[in-house]
Amino acid sequence: MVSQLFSRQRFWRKQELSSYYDIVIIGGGVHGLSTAYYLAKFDKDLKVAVMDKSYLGAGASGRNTAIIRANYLTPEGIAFMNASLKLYEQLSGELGLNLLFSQIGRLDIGHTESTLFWLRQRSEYNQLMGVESNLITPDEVKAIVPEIDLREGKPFPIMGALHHPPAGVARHDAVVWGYARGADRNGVELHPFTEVIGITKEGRRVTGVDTSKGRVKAGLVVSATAGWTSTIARMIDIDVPILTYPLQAFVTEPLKPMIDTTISSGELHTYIYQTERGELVIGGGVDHYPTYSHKSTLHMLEELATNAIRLLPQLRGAKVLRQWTGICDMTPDYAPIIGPVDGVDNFMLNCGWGTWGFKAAPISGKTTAELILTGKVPELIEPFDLNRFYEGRLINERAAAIAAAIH
Amino acid sequence: MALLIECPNCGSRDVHEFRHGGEISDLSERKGISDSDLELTKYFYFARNNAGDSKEWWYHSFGCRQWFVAYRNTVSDQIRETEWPEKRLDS
Ligand SMILES: Cc1cc2nc3c(=O)[nH]c(=O)nc-3n(C[C@H](O)[C@H](O)[C@H](O)COP(=O)(O)OP(=O)(O)OC[C@H]3O[C@@H](n4cnc5c(N)ncnc54)[C@H](O)[C@@H]3O)c2cc1C
Repeated sequence: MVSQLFSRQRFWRKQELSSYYDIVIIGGGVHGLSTAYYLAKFDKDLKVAVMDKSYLGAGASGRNTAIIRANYLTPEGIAFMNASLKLYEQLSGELGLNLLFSQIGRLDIGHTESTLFWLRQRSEYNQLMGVESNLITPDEVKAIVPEIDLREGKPFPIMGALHHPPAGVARHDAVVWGYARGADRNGVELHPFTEVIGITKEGRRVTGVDTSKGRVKAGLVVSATAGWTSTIARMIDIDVPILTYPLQAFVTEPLKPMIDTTISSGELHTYIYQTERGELVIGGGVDHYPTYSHKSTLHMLEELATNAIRLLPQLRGAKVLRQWTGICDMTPDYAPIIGPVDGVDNFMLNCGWGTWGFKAAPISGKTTAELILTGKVPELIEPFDLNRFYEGRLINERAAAIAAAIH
Repeated sequence: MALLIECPNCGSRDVHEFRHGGEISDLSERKGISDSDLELTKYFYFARNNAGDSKEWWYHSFGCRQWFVAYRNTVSDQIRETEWPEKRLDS
């Protein structure tokens, strides 16, 4: 029995590509995989395939900093992200895999009166919607993060913070692998290294995909390609309100335990937390112009490191272990796009995850699967249709990302 | 990406001296006051966001403060060419 625990088992099977699937999901990131997982969980007879041009998790899902929180600004955003956080609380059990989900909390720091005002507004909205979220004083911040620099007279004094205790972090790769394994066990076919190079159509009806391994027919095609969504949109001639921006992050060498929460400063465009291994994870806002390039820059490293030291002076001299970049599908209102597209049948978008999509993956997959299986739009994702841009119903979720502060 | 941009006025300068001003595509065209709501919506929110060749506006904000046109490959992030716009906006 014990040896079984340590036996080497593949997480998913290698599959031959069939000529037909009920549902083809393009993109083996956390959203494509969680959608596949819930589809197969709800309906075991469906033939579902997930295709990725690279390995599973090669996109932003394998590159993010894994912060999960629900202290958003809009009623739409708060409800959606809180539902996701609740799913994360059960997810290790559900997937039978330790996702290292730990609810270490979150501090959104305010350095000016106007930021405090806006954090206060968020705490009120959060509390109204049953999300634990309080404005706290500098001394209360110090009690949670003793290392924080409270000196007065510095350029970015700490005037308070929005405290959101249920926030947390998880092992991002494990979430990808957990959903992939769960989907595989429920009969989903996973096809890494299978690039979709075209989408076949008859009139306004999508009929399948052309892949690097040949043509496949499909009853429904779902695009879950995040930063690459515009390349899929081009294949079927639809317009999407997306710009692809790179987001960078870096980690330091492991240091002694110094903070056990996640802290973020919108004004400094920087956030920090410490992993269980002791590495400080430091990230910020997107680069200043759109590109599909995954190159990291010294400029961003300097900016993030400088601002991290402004918050935690003890970090001065810490050595950088590595820095990396992922690409993000930024929408004009920092909210996702889920659902069908007018004028195209048998096709669905799941995108607009920008720099905030890791935390959303469980509820996104679950609601997208419900939408596909019932044809009815679940209430939580009703606000996130593509038509909102044509009908003037933008969401303006300015608490989704540090990027929202600079755009 | 240590990108250098060739400003038609100032020559080769670091990318951080510049501001990206958006793509020049069928979606970015405005006829002017006669635009319909739909055209305005597309203009404001939608983009080709092409992976590959892109013609776009750049602004030398920490330099000569001139707008110019660049041809960039958005995957390799190389700028092939920069030039003054054919028609200045104020002409
Ligand atoms: C540095 C960084 C930090 C982040 N931090 C956070 C955070 O702390 N919290 C948070 O909530 N979010 C965070 N995010 C955002 C989050 O990572 C993304 O929103 C999320 O991973 C998107 O998942 P996805 O499955 O939609 O897309 P992706 O993971 O990008 O997957 C898309 C997949 O589509 C595949 N693909 C593309 N084109 C094709 C094709 N033609 N054929 C087949 N396959 C194709 C790609 O190979 C890719 O694997 C961060 C992102 C980055 C880059």
